[in-house]
Order: sequence, then structure tokens, then C-alpha cells
Amino acid sequence: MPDFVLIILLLLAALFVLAGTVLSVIGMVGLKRLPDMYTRLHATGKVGLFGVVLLLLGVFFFGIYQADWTIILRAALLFLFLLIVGPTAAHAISSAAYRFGQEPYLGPDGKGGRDDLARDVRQKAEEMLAEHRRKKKNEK
Amino acid sequence: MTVANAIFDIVLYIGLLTHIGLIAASLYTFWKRTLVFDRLIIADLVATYILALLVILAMLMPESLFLDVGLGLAAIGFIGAIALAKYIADQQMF
Repeated sequence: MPDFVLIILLLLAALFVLAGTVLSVIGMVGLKRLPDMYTRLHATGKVGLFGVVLLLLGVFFFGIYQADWTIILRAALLFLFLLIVGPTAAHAISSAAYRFGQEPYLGPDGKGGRDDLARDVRQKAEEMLAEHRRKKKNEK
Repeated sequence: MTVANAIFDIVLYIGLLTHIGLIAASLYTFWKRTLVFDRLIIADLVATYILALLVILAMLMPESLFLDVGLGLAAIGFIGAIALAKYIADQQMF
């Protein structure tokens, strides 16, 4: 490859590494400053997706620069794995917190925002209760 | 050419030191916060930061073996997060 292409590849890799580092710092700032467990989970989920994935894009360009296929293929595998795993783990943690009874933050006076999941859960519970009562009536 | 190599090395060292500092800061937050879900989130976050550290080391050495280690670490961290979340929500592991 000509010389200037190699220089551009290296500088692109350096740019992506810097972007990933900045997003990691943003995730830490969100963990320190946000008021609620769910919003903190939202901030730290960005680190797993964008921080490491941007670093892996840097690894792509570095692998092209080195003409090394093993590093590119492994980075692609890790890329796909992280895209599947990160949101799944965040959803599992937030679902567990909601079932445990953790209250979401609804503004400083407790009236802002809305809790859509509470409505859905209540609706499902009422449906289950109605079903139960109908069954009991049929038995009698 | 050598200038680009030097810039790339400096950026990699900046990323390495930043991630080491972020791991220290998140461990301090783990010590200070007492809510169990905060600690679960931070445990997941530390695994992610160590993964980022391994990716940077793979470019710095350069050695593709670090990416294999990172894949194993990501898998174990995922399974641990899922198992702990289920354990806390249902009060049982299985």
C-alpha cells in the first residue's frame, strides 16, 4: 500500500480510540451524577456499546494497517458478541430491579414523567384476577 | 510515517491510563454506594472497562491473543450479570 494510505489508516484508528475513551469517561460521569438506578444503568450501558465498539472499529483500521487477518476477524467476532450481549444484560438488570420493587425517579416533586410499565403490570394483574374469579364461578 | 506512529502510540497510552483511572474510580463508587443494583451495575461496568483495556493492549503490543481473552471475559461477565440479576429478583438461582 502507498505511504499516505497507511498514515490515514493509523490516524483513523487513533481517532476511534480517542472517541471510545471519551465515551467511557461520559459513562463514568453519568454513573456519578444521575439521580436514579435506571438512569445510571442507561448511562453505563453506553460504555459497553459505544465505548468498546468504537475501540474495536479502531482495531479494524489497525488490522488493515498491519495486514493482519487474525486481529480483524477476532475484532469482528467480539463486535457482534458485544452488540448482542450489552442490551441483554442491561434489560435483565432493569427487569430484575423493577420486579424487586425499585421505584423510578419521577422528578424532584415525584410527579414528572410517567411509569408506563406500572400501568401494564396493573392491567395484567387485573386480567389475571378476573380470569381467576371466572374460573371459581364456573366451579360453583 | 514515524510521526503517525508516534501519535498513535501516544493516543493508545492516553486511553490505557484513562481506563485504569476509570477502573479505580468505579471501584471507589462500588465502595461508597450501598444499593445492591448499583453494585450490580458497577460490577458489569468494571468488566466492560477491563475489556476495553484488553482491546487497547491488543493494539499496543500488537498481539491478537488479547482479543480472545476479551471474548472469554465478556462471556463470563454476561453470564454473571444475568445470574446475579435473576438471583436478586427471584431470591433463588434456578
